[in-house]
Amino acid sequence: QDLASLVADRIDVDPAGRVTASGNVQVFFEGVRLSAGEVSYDRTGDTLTISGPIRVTDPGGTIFLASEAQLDRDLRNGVLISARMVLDQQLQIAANEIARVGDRYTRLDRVVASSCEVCFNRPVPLWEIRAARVTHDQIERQLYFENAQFRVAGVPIIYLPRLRLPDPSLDRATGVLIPEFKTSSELAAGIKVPYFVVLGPHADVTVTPYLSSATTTLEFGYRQETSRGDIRALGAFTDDDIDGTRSYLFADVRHRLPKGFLLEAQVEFVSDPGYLFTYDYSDQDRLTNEIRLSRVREKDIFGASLTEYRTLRDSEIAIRDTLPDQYLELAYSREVPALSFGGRTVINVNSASLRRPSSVDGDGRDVGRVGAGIDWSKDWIVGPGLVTRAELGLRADAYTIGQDSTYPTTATRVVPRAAAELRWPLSRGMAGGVTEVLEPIVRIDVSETGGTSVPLEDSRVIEFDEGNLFSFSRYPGVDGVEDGVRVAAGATWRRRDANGWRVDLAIGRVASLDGDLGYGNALGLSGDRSEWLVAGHLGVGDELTLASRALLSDTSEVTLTESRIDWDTDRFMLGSSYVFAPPEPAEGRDARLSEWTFEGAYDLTDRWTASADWRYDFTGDRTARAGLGIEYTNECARLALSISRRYASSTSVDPTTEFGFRVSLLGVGGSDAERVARQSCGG
Amino acid sequence: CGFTPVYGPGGSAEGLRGRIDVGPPVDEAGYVLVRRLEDRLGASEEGDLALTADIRLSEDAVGFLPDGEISRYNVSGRVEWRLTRKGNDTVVATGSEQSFTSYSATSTTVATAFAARDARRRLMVILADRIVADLMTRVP
Amino acid sequence: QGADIALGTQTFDRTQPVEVTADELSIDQASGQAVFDGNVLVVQGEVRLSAGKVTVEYSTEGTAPNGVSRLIASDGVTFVTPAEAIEAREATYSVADGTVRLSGDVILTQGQNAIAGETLTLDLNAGSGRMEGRVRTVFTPGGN
Repeated sequence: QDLASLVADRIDVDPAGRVTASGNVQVFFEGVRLSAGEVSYDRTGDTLTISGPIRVTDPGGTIFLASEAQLDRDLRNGVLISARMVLDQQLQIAANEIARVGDRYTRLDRVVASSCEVCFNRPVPLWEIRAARVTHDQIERQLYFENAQFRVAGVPIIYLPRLRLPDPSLDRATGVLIPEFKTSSELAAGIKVPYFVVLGPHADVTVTPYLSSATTTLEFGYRQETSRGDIRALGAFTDDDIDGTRSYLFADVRHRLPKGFLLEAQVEFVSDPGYLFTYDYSDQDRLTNEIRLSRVREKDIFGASLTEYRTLRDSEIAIRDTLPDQYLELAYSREVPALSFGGRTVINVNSASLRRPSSVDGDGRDVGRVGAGIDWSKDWIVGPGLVTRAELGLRADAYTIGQDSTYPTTATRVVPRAAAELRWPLSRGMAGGVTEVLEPIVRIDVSETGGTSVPLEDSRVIEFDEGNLFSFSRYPGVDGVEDGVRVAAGATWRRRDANGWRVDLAIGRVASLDGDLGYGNALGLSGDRSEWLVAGHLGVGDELTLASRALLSDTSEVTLTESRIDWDTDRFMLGSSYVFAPPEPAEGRDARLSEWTFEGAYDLTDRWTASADWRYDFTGDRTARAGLGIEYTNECARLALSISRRYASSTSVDPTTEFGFRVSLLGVGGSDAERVARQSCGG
Repeated sequence: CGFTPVYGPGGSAEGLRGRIDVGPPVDEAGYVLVRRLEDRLGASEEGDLALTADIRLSEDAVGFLPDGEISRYNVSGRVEWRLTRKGNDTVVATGSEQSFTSYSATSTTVATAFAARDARRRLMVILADRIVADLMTRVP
Repeated sequence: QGADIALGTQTFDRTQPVEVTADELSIDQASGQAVFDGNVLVVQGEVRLSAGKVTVEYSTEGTAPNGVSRLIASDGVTFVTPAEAIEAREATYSVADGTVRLSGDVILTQGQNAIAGETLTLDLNAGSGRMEGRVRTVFTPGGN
């Protein structure tokens, strides 16, 4: 039997053996802590009579405040008069009488429950639930209200004979989540009422009926953790006035196999092209169904995947048959220490097969390739810190080309290559902890393409930036190879100071010494020399990152520029990007691209937050998307108001405006949102 | 002008090559980052320093055509790296780098998929080069 | 089995003779005081009081049956009754009104229960006691 300890200013013992402790009385027993003005206790009876401001904290952290109480000696059972119960420092329940029954149940009568701060100058909380009786089940962590009345700012809104709410310390419990009111120009005014169902400790599903005058939709989100991976699925079934029955499913499965292999499967299905956009389920305009087996280790990487593509783009639906829809790829790359000769040797083997549904000659071209490559490289320091690097490589590929008479049915290609790169990194330290690194770089690549030319299936989109300025090829895939003698020269400069400011600059150019670079009129790489690549970056601590990149012609006219800023502080968040790119018919872009996106949120006060997002297309001189949001959060509620307009219009989608209003009660059920600290009543 | 060769005599990274053992990659992007770091730092398993990096990638559409089709994507990447002394794991230096690359999405399905993969690969090269530029002056 | 802190004082009988033993005794007739010094032990019935020094004051008016009006014990006092034991730095037992006043780190132990505080005043006739000053107690609540 455990001992209870008591501390007080005075203890009186009267002739009948009645002990009365008074003055700052504290009693500790098996994790229960009681503090009160006076505790008296008689020898024969089992109960403690307690008066004065009483505060009982039970091991679970629940706090009871009362003016008087009658508890048994182990402070477990008994009645508290005009008491308040505080759950998890969030939800307060005031009651005329609280009866503690054993370790599990607490019965409260004539109750006012709210997680809002109640002060003299603001006696009416933002929301409260009044009830004749509430029973708190400490094991199930549920609150059962009887004859409950939900009031907002003192005005009764709903009357519920029975109401069950999870107590704040409970994270996962089956039940109705907070509804969202939503009106959209396409789907009229509607309401979403999500219902969360716990399916055992490792799985749950959220089922959300979305009802409006224009649509009856059932959305679902399923999640499951397995011992070796996880399953996620999102989907919806709809019957609406726009297109009748519609549905979509996005599911992906990850499963870890023995020996480090990972199996991934992704399913993406949509009943009609406009569905995702109209219901704002996703911006995606192409679907990918894929099954992939991969393994990544220290010295080797393996990947095998079968992918099926499906387009939702209006411009492509008509020519769908001429787009590759199935792609099988196998790739393995491994370092071979035995052949390293003091450097590093990597061999890689890969094969792919691409299929187009159409069987029209030319349009329906199907391609299969299998090939292998070996690359050797060695770096060493020469003289005063000069880093020299030598590379040798050999690549051989065999192609089978079907349904395209402009190409032979089979083609082989062998490409030997060699490269030398010279880097001379220099640094200097300056006053105030400033350090600078300057690194001039020059590289020469030589390669000879033997064999017939092959169709570029995986190497059509050419991008040029600091990531491939000093590499042996700018082609993204295997089909494209550079030929001849190319020289790339440039330099990078980094300045870093003591208080987290970092500035980077990179400049460079690549040129071919024997004719054309081979990229046709690809952006920035047309003709025999590339445009000047200039890239800059500014980083301030972890908060601000500004990165920008441009391609300048010899007449220093900007042909492509892209910038991005990401600025996060605890007071505001800003993300913005601007891209300007000229028309690129080879890549299917016939109009100039000049687009600015902006996304920001700002805490007006610690309770009000305004947010906005905007996308403006300078070429078409139109807004592509605009949205505004305002959010009020205090210690017990969050109200979010949002309006957004999306301007895409095509045969399958029309511009839509959406207005959303969402109220969530905080302090009821484990709401993950971080709540504003409780404001002191004086404030 | 005060610049001295980093790997030269008395340079800020003299003898650093071959001392750093870069941590194992966990995914395709990590594989490219580790390969590039090892190429540039002359990595070896016997190094007395261990470099680990944590990569976070995200992709968002930056170009929308009038009919809602996405014409260009930005791939943003952030790497948090830590250099520790092997054995007692004391932290020698830490840092983070962030940048982006982009790719056009107006070509065929397969070409766009490869463009996305190459954009991630180029981003890893950029971030690795930045880490190396940092390490050149921050390893005592 | 209860945490019964009531004082087992009903058995205390004030009419019992008070017997005092000590190493040294010095008496001062003029002031009516006797000072016992060194391992003093005072016994009355089943109640025993031991202390480093005890000063006994006799009532000169002779109202008390044996003339002792107050006992003042100091230098560490232990007061033992059949049911509990009390320790303190000093104690004053006034025979006339049957009260004992102990002070200085008082510890009262009774069976498994103990109360500690600065001062303890006991009313031997009424059987009540008051402990004051940073009072701390340990008691065994009954399970149900």
